[in-house]
Amino acid sequence: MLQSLKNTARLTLKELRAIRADKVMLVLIFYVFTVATYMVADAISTEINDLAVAVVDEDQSPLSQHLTDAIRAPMFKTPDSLTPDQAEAALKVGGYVLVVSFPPEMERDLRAGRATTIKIDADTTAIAQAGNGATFLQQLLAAELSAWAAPSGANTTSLVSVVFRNLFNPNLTSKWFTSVMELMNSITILTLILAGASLIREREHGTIEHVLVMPVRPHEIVLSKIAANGAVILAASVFSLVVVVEWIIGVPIGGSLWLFVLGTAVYVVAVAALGLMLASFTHTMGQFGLLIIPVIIVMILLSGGMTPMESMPDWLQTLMKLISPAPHFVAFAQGVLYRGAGASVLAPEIGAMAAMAGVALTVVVARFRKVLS
Amino acid sequence: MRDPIRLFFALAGPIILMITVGYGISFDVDELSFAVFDQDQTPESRRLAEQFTAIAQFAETAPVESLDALEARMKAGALTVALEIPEGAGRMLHQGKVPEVSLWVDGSMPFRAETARGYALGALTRFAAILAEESGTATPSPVTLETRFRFNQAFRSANAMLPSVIMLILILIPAVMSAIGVVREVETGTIANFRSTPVRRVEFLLGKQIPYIALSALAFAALFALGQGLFQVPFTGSLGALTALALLYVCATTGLGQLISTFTKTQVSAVFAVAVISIIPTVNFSGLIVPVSSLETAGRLTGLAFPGAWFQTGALGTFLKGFGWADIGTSAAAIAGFAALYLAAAVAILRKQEP
Repeated sequence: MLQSLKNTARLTLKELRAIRADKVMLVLIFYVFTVATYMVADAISTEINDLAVAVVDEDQSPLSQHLTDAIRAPMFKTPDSLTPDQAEAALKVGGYVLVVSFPPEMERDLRAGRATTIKIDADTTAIAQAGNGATFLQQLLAAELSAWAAPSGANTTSLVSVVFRNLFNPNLTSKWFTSVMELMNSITILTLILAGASLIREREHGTIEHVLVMPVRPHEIVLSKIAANGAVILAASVFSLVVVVEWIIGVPIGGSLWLFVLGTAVYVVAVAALGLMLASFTHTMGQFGLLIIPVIIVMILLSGGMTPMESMPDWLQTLMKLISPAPHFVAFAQGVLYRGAGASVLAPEIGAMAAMAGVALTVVVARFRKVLS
Repeated sequence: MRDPIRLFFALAGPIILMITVGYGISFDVDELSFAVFDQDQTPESRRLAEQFTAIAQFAETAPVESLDALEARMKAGALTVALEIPEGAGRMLHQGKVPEVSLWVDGSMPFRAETARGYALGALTRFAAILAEESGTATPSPVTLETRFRFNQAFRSANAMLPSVIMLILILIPAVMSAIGVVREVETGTIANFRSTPVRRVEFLLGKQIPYIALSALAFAALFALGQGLFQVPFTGSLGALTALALLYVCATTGLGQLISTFTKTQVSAVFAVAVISIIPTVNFSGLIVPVSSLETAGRLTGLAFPGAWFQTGALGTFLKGFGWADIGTSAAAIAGFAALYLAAAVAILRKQEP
């Protein structure tokens, strides 16, 4: 047992040296966990934020000017003013998600009590923004119009006022969410490739024979690969979480940091085991590369981190929860970071990830001899 | 190319990706778990609650008894939206005062929270209209806000997502194939053959690139057929224009793979570099989730520095916005520019002589 641990530790050091030798790889790891995490968190949000809006103002009255001024940050970018033809062309090339058109004589008609119609065109190819964006823009314009019609401050349109209270993320800052999801994506990309490649490399270089004639057992080799690659990724992710996510981006980490590190460690092991398992089914780096890219994309996009898990068809939800540790990690991360949930609430998610790691490791060790011959 | 396993992956990978991602990325928010916390228990408060339970996208669960219970259920992830009606709300409505109700939303998934808020606002507006009509104070509003949903009226996620998914697949798979193609020669030493023959660098690179372009074109045909057949995405534009654009695009993406391969020494780092360099901008900054027009400057520029964002505009346009040849001009020119740039850079970096 002690001998086995010693062997594993030595092999782990060997793996770490192999990682250290590849400079391009080190630069990329650093880039992913710092620059990329920051940039994505800063730029990506499915919440209504900075939507590109254009205004077609055929009224040119104080009222239309007032309504245009009301369309502003944080929900919308400062609207551009366009002619009807320009607006149509811009919608076509995707320059704007929403275009508001004020009809000619709008203010005069309203003052005279005549009905008028304000048009909002929404480009629904921007599926995540068009619906909510149009809803909020309508609310905004309706509120401004009723305030304009009844300046006494009496809001005639609403009989019930509503206060929105968001638990766990009071301002619906999607940065919180995106930065943690981006961290998970980085872990997924790097761990799958690093772990899988460490096996393929041995095969392609023929160094596996050297390892095989040494008095070490397959499981020691496999564990050492996971330990080395996992340690590098975990260290980088904790650094990224504390420095980039918490300190630079300013996400308040709600729950226990140690609990989060524990869950992340389990996730890293599960993904590393998965990477080794996939590598054991391929013979060359070329095959592995072609196999791993689709796996990465499916894991990232169907994790519940990019789009709501509940929106997927049931069969796909079930499938992803069975074969991918990512949905469990997303649920876990949301629980710890936002809801401050404790270990007992999150045990099922950690358990699911651990079980996947176990299955994948069993397959790898079983296939090991066969793979190397 | 003599490797049947790789050939299989090169064609099956895109198809499997398309099916899983096409079904999986969806922004249809429904079955939001919803509960009422009614402290008023009057006929009016129940009517207000009914407005919410009638929302098709809300799935009603057992009523909430206390704020602590509400928080506990949200903490466990079992409740997304809750409506809290304070005591006396019904009486205030009778007196013509404006009661204040609270809508509690689990904010840990901002997109869901915001959509839920949109639904709730709609329900409240309807409720106000109903009450106004009953009390006879209804004056038809002089302003109609007419919203027209263009290009994808049914709000089908698949229609909006599939062109972007094609964009994603046709950068990742071609880039990784061609990157490995060149690095493998370096790693296994067969590059010596090229170094010892009078083949020019451009010829060498193009010769390696053409088979991958052909394969990727096949993949595009398969993806297009899937989009039409399985996902029933309408195609309103010019097929010729989209095909031409896709061919240019795979020239650029295989070129990107080759460029990456010229500065990596091992196949591992090549796969790695392709994954990192291409996945992050294409997933995040090329219009897959957020339209490029609504990104902040840094993100937008990152997106536009890759061919993906340009192809996405053209693909989306030919599918849903009736684009013809004239409409894809800018995209095509930009993508062709990328293809030429990648090839030129790869030629410049690839050393004819042993370093």
